[in-house]
Amino acid sequence: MTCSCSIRAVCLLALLAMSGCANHAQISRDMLTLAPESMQMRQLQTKRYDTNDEKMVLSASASVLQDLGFHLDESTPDLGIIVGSKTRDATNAGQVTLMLLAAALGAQPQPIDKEQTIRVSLVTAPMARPVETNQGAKVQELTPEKISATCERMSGRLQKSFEEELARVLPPADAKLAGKSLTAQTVKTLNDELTQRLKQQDFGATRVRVTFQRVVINTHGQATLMEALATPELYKEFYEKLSKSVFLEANDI
Amino acid sequence: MNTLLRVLLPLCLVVVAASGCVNPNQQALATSAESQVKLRTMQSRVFDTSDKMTTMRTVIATLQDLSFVIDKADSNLGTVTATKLGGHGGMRMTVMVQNKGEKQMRVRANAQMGLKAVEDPLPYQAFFQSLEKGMFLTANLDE
Repeated sequence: MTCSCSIRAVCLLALLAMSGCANHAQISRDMLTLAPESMQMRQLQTKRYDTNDEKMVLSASASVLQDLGFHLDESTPDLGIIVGSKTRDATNAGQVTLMLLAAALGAQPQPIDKEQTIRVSLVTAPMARPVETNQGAKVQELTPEKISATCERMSGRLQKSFEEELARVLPPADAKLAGKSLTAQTVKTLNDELTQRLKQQDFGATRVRVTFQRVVINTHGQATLMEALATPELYKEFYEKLSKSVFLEANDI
Repeated sequence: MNTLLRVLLPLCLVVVAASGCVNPNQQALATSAESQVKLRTMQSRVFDTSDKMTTMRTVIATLQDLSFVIDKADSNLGTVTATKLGGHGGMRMTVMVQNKGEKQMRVRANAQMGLKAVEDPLPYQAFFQSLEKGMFLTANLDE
């Protein structure tokens, strides 16, 4: 009886040990799936500036981070990325008192939080400025893909109509040739026109997205806390500072 | 004696099963349990676009939407490295964007969670599904 009991216990242990493996895949899958609250976080961490000068916004951001005492660790201007960090004190009176009390009672001194590293990662990107239309209709955003698709569709239709009309006044072979060259010209004009519009539209505004995180290290050098900072006030305050900085930078003050 | 054997034998089995999980042989050049080709296939997708910069920026935006913090990026090599804090030691990810021919981009993602590489196809599938939404393009398997 005792024997079957211990076998059962061992089997349970085996199951637990192996479920660790399956869990790894499940958890990593959850970590790579968009959470419903990701939109909210994006809104909290993002701000749009009505300027097409991405480099200026990036340099204004770097100035704000320096104002806040961050050291810049990495920067990739062509992708609009700045990464910075600062190390600050993390001792808190409560923990110190508890540690002293425990030591006075003869216990082994426990490690307490010593310092924290705050990391910041900031990304800028060009974005389309939303155009106000009188009808309040939804604005269609132009993309290179949409342009080439439109040109392709128009090319087929134009060629057909040109050929049909020209066939009434020209010999069939000539009509086909003339139709082809006219279509090519028209589609090229259309493509140029749309590309011009795309360029004007695409460089209307710049968005900035910033993320803060902190890692707390204790007196034994172990990380006791790793967290992303998600307080709305923090981001609000940061963007107030950045807005001022963008204004100063834009006016060269 | 017999009872002792009956307890010890399953115990040995547990040790063997558990040791399969934690491979002590994970050194710098140790390749994964999966074959190299299989691993590449599940970590890569191909997008029908020739715009490397936009692809990289979309990868960065998607990682941020997934609560990752960007550590590094290099537009010449086309790499982005990001970290996500959280339980189980957090996750670290490197994504590489390369030209595939003249009209396509190959995106390859590598993830590790805690001290273990992620070698299951499903997490990568989830990542590319998120990326697809940002790209407005379908992620095709790299044949």
